[in-house]
Amino acid sequence: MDPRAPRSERIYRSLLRRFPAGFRDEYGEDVVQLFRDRHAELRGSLGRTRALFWMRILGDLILEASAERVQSMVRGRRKTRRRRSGMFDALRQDVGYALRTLSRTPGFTALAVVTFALAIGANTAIFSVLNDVLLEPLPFGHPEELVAVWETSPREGVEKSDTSAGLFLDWRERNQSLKELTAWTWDSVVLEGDFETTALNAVLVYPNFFSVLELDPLFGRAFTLDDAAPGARGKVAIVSHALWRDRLGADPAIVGKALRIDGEAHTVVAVMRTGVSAPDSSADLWIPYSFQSPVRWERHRRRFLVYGRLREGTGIDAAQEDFSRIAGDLRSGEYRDIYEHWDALLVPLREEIVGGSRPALLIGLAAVGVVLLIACVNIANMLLARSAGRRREMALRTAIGAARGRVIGLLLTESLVLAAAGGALGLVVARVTHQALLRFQPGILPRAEELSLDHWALGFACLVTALSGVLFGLAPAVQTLRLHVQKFLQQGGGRSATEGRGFTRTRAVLVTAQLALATVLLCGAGLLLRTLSELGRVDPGFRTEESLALRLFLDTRRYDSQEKVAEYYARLTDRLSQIPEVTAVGASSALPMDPLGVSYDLPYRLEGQKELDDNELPQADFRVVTPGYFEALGASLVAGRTFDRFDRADRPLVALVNETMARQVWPHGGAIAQRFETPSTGWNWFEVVGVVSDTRFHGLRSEPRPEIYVAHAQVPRANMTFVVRTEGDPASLASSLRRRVLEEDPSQPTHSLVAMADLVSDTVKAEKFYTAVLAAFSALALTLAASGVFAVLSYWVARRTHEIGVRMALGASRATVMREVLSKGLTLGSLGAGLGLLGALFTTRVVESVLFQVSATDAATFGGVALLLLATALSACAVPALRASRVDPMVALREE
Amino acid sequence: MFRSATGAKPAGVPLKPTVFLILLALGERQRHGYGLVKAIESHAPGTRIEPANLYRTLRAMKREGLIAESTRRPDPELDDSRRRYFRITDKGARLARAEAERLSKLVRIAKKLRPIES
Repeated sequence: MDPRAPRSERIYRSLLRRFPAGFRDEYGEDVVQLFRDRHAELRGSLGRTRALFWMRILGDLILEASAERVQSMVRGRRKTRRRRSGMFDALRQDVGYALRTLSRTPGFTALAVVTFALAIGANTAIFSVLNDVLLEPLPFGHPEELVAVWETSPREGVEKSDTSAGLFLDWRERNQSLKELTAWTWDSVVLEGDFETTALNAVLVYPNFFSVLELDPLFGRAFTLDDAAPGARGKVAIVSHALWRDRLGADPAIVGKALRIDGEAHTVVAVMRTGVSAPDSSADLWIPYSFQSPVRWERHRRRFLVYGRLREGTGIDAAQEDFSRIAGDLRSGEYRDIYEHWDALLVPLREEIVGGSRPALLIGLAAVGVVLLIACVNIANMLLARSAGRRREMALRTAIGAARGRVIGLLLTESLVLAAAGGALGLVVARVTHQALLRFQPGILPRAEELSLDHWALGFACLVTALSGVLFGLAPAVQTLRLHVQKFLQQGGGRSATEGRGFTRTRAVLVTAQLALATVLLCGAGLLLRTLSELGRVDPGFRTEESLALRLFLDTRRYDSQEKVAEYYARLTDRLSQIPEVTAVGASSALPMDPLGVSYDLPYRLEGQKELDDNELPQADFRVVTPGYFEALGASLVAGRTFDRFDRADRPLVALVNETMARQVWPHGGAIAQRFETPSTGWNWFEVVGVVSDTRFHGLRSEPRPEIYVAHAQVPRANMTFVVRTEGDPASLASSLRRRVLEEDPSQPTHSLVAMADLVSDTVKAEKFYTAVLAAFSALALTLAASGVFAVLSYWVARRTHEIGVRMALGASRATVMREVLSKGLTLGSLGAGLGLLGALFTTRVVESVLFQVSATDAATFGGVALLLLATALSACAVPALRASRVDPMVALREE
Repeated sequence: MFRSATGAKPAGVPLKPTVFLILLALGERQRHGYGLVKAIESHAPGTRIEPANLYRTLRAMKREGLIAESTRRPDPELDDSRRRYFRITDKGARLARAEAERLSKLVRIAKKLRPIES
């Protein structure tokens, strides 16, 4: 071979030797030449293309070489065969031999292949998801430069707060660390079509939004600063690819046409690319928003999220310092009353978007890693057992002249054949698992629409399992060959006397390790299961069954006065309650556990607290509700009365408080008829007329907070959510509810309609998902470990049939024999459980952040897991124990 | 009984797609291996023939007399003496036409299919 040839060519040439000499002599040079031409095309391409190239080339060589072999064999071209290179011949023989041997033990082969496949498949699937979500770049240009900027106030207990338009403009003007800043917020708008009106998710953006994220439209132009000229909203819009395709008929001439959005004509200036999800995939259209000359009070309206792009060479720490400096300036400036306790917080955008799913994914990865480890141990164990039984065969082969290398090659080939079959099946498992993960993940994986199976992960998992196979397939071979062959054969073929103590011990250690690892996983899964059941036991404070939530975002252009808004909701309430199946109707400015609910705190001042400064006042969650709300929600009245239709705008202002507030503020009772002042629309005095029961407003995990409820007729809000309690199946009412809403006002659509039960269960969907994943992996781990126990004990019994026979002939009872096997299983089980629990003490901390009212070392869970493990170990040795007890002494002794 | 590598029964058609593509490419002019691969890739985008597969197919086609190694060299300026050139034989051309005829019949039938109604 020409040593000056490129490495790729040398590799190719050496692989080409797998072909029969006849073909090589005739076409070898041409094939290499073509390879050279092909390889030259690769110049300048990426790793993936190169990998694909080599995969194709290797596949070609393997397929064609095998076909060529078969062909020449069938044709009986002895001439070629004689010249065939020795090495390939040996390899072919070994593969053939391995296939024959393996097919003689279908049980073992199937188990090994399935073990390989499960380990490879599960790992690939989970790792692919992890890789895509946590490691792949965000779908923006230079995503590593992007940061999210929050307001933060540890003193007020606010970690991250949205920002006001005024502060955003201050930041833009004063910072020195960011190249650009942009701001956006969600809005719900109504699109009027020819036949129907639809509620859409709009993103109101500062005009540079797309250029900061470095996103280009599919066609059309990005926003310019002129688009947001004075006026609340500009008259242009960019539509999402999905909206353009599904609602606008994929009109290629859409740019320049006008859409009626919230009653105003908006000219479409661009269509975004498919899959552009900024800020996420639910965005239907983008509208530029005017940030000009915000007035002072607007600095209290923290409604914008701010993204920025770091200057080249500026780290996030330097930028953080820069923004903290600005915060410092603000604290002593014109608005010091607003910003006195506030700072800025910069977070890398990736962290902001994917950070929340990190614990779930890491738990998944840990689980999958443990399963991979257990699978490797299982494979090692099976191969050890197998080769221990075949030492006689190996010794015999060596004795009659087989080269040691060939004997090792033989065992190696067997392992590799198993690994290859496992890998092929593993690919199927990986695809199925990956799809199942994406299908059943309840919206907790960000960017799920972009995920795909990772071929590098598949390769890695294959490599690890194959290596473990090779390593353990080889170990016994090497050990065999170290023995004196002669001695080995003389000793009656190694039935019992030379059965290595070392082997048995190694295998016992391996099985114990498996059991221990499975225990750790089971403990994690057990803790999560207990968390779910604890969460299920929490009383949300309202009845979720048989009720629906119906959201409305009233168009404030047409309902432009408080009276109109109040009248609209009063009329709609009447209309909805006329539906025969509806038993109660009420609306609130925010529903418990509703992710779309706008909930905010307001300070309040009790009578006689005049001396307190505004900033020192206590705060409570502030909500606006209609009279039937508590009845519809299923919350109860503890004292006094709820709102009724006489609580009108022209009557004294009244309020309700929840139990927590009543307890905290008036610990000795007597909340009724107390008065407080709160800035609902300017500071006003309210009189408490009733106390209602607590609800878990912010989710099952969080304790109720003080709440103030005021009457909608007195403090109207445009955006309300109805709770409709029904008789019978609430889902069947959906269409008639929507119809009634349109009857009231044909141009005012329903924003969305969900079952209350879904709102609650959605708050624990992430927990449910990763509990299910962890439970599935634990079950897999336990099964693998059980099969390990089974294999070791079965083997032990098989090797000792003779000994057992002798002992039974001498009077040992069946029960004694059984007990012995069972006690071996129990020993393995308790050792494994003990070590596993010890390990779990240190490792369950991983899941601590997601536990609820369960300690990370919960004794009941750990105890239950230990029992489960022992029971599994015992049942795994039931069959071997029975087999041992059924040994017929006569048969066993005759075999000798 | 194994079928021959060209997929051709003694009578001829149907041909393996690769064989048909090679015949078509050589029908235009004689070519060497890389030229053949490039021609096929431009005739049938998406098709990719790897080296070993190509030469095993060529050898089988040569054995069946569908192609021959060219003795006539092309324009000396284009010539690359290291490379082996192939040309189509009369038998090969006949078979290619028969295959084309067979395929065009299928196309005619396919065209009569009613368009799929959605």
